Amino acid sequence: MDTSGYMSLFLEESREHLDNINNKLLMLEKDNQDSGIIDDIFRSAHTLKGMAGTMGFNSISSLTHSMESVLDEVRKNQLFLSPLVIDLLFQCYDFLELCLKDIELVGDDSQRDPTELEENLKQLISKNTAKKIRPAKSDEQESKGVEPKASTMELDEYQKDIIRQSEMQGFNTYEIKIVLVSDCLLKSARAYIVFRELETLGEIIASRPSAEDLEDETFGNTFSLILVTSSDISSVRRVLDQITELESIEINQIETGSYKQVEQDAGAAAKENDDDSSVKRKIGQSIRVDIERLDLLMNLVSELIIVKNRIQNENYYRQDKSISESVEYLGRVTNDLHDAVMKVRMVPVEIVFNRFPRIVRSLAKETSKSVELITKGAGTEVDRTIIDELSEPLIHLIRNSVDHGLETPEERVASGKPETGVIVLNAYHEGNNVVIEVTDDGRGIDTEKIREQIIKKGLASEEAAVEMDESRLISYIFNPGFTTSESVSNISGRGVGLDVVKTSIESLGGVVEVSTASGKGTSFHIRLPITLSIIKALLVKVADEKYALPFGNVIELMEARESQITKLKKQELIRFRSHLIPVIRLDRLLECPRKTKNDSDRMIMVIVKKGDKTYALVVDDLIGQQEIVIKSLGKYLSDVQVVSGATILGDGSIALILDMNHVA
Amino acid sequence: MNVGVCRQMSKKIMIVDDALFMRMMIRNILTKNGYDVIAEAENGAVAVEKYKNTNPDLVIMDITMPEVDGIEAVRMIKKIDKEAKIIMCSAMGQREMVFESLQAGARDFILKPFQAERVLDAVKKATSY
Repeated sequence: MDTSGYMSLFLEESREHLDNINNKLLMLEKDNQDSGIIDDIFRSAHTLKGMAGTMGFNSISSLTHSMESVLDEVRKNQLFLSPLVIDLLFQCYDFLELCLKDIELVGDDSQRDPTELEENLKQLISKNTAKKIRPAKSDEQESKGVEPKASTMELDEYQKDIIRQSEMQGFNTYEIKIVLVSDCLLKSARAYIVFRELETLGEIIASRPSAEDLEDETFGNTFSLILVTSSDISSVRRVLDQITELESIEINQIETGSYKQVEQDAGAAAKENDDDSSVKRKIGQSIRVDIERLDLLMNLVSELIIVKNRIQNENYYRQDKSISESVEYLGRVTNDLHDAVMKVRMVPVEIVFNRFPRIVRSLAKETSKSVELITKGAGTEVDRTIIDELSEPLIHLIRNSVDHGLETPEERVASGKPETGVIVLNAYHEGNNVVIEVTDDGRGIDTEKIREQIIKKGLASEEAAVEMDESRLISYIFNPGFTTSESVSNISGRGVGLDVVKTSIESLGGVVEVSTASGKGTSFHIRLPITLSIIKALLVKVADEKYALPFGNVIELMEARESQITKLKKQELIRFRSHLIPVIRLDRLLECPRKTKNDSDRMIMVIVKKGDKTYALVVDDLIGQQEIVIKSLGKYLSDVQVVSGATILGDGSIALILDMNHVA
Repeated sequence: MNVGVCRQMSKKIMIVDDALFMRMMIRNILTKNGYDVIAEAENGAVAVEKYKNTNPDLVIMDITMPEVDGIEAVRMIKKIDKEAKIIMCSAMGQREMVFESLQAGARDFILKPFQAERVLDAVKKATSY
């Protein structure tokens, strides 16, 4: 079967189930008596098994199968849920996650070998069975668990789910077996009629042979199908009786109960079904959409905005009142449309945050520290493209906080703090930005240690280092290879991390800032734009070329004279609100020579802020502010640093977008 | 003659086939068994016209015909009367066309060369409700 079309759905659903397993395992750690939680984990493992099996990912399906066996023992109170068991299950979770990553990257999980974990899981059971002297039947039964009875059609988890849900809604499910007359010609067309007629009554959720095989006529005279319908058995029969060349028709009502029966016989998923039918699943009013489709939609909206800008730039429309009104209306509608599409693309940061309790837990174990993680604002929404990139940097920061930031429990007690360290993860909106903070109440960053390291590593001269103020010193922690930690643990301290955090956040158009107080803790602020595809920009002219400066970076526009510029060594500086800030001449930076010499002494400067640094950019002319659509430069120009993208202006000309992170 | 057949006396059938031979054959089968063949047509276009005028209970329709073929005729008749009951009559090796006509709304199909009981079975089932 060609499964490639289901890949993204598989990955998405599997991730949901893995997240669920993770969350529920964490809950189990706190309360290992709650059988509902175990059932929940069991269900997720079971679903994963089914999906992975269908897709042919054997490592996942094999391991989840072993997990099921263990969980089943736990459910039946045959196995005590010791921390050891939970740990092992966590290891399984890690393994499954790696498998999923592999699948995402290389489309296959065969590189991962679950044998060792499976052995460990099996040992749990065998130890247990030995102790209880249970008949060794369970294992044997287990292996049969995947295969339902021969007389019943094999159903995957989706189909069973449909049956369960339809049953809840009062629908009937029938298994229908059709035998065609022996000399039937064009069997596929006959089967087609059967399908067509039955579909007037309800939905056919499965058939054996598959619909394709039926169509290709690669079947004998018999086929079976499962129909979910609101009609009763006699009306189904009446419909089938109308169809010619059917030798016999067999209709059996099936219930989830009968599936339960089958599985109970096989020993596998005994409790699963009755639980599912009693616990009503929350069926949200939502649909899944491929992110690519949303990207396409966004692209179209972008094009629309370009056209709108273009019309607004035309002068003729201003003369006619009705046209100008329509154009204004068009402008409003496009803006609303843009907002709406943006909102569709938004996802709560929860998706990323949910992974952290687990990470903090294992970090705390590794470092033998006691850590509490508090998350706030998990509902804050961010563009989907940003979310995907956010996870790694945040993990880095959290690792840093646990490993470097927080003290050992002894140290904490000694300095009069509560034994348990607290890490707060907070997300909120601020203007057109989303801010995410990682704050710990640990020892803070020792700036003196940084100073020592700067001198030791020769990153700056001793005199310069001595003169550096605190914030300047702290900024060094983002240098590649910089660490103040004496010991390199396998969590952090190797000096890789913060520079990676910085570059990845900056590549998203965001900034990272740090504030710290000795003995009280450290806080990292990540500030990101809510969306990446449409921004407000200031359009400027340098020589004959147009450039766009992201509005978020622009602080002020000012006029200056050549004489106001002072020089320090080779750097040109200008006074801006009592600070001396570097002057950057864009015509030099961008290497676009002026055709005519600018003979006036006056210069236009755009004051921009990037992180906590401020620069004055010298431009030739200001064009105005505009919403621009960011188009990437494409792979061919990916190593261009100063320019982050391009945009098409209303008149059809192109402006390059300057990347403030690389201008200076 | 039993009561069942008597009841079927009222069923009005139209036969559409470009071959007179086929029309006669089908008509013989049907009339012998108490059905009333009220119209015949030699192509799809005529069939559509006659369907409008005679409003039969059932149409037996050949697929390959000049001018308007059977599939197109099914579509046209279905447009006029979406409850129209049509049985396709096709030679072997017209698999795709059979599918197409079924998708267009034909109820059933019989394959040539056909046996009388197959035709009757199909007609009976198609007209029974």
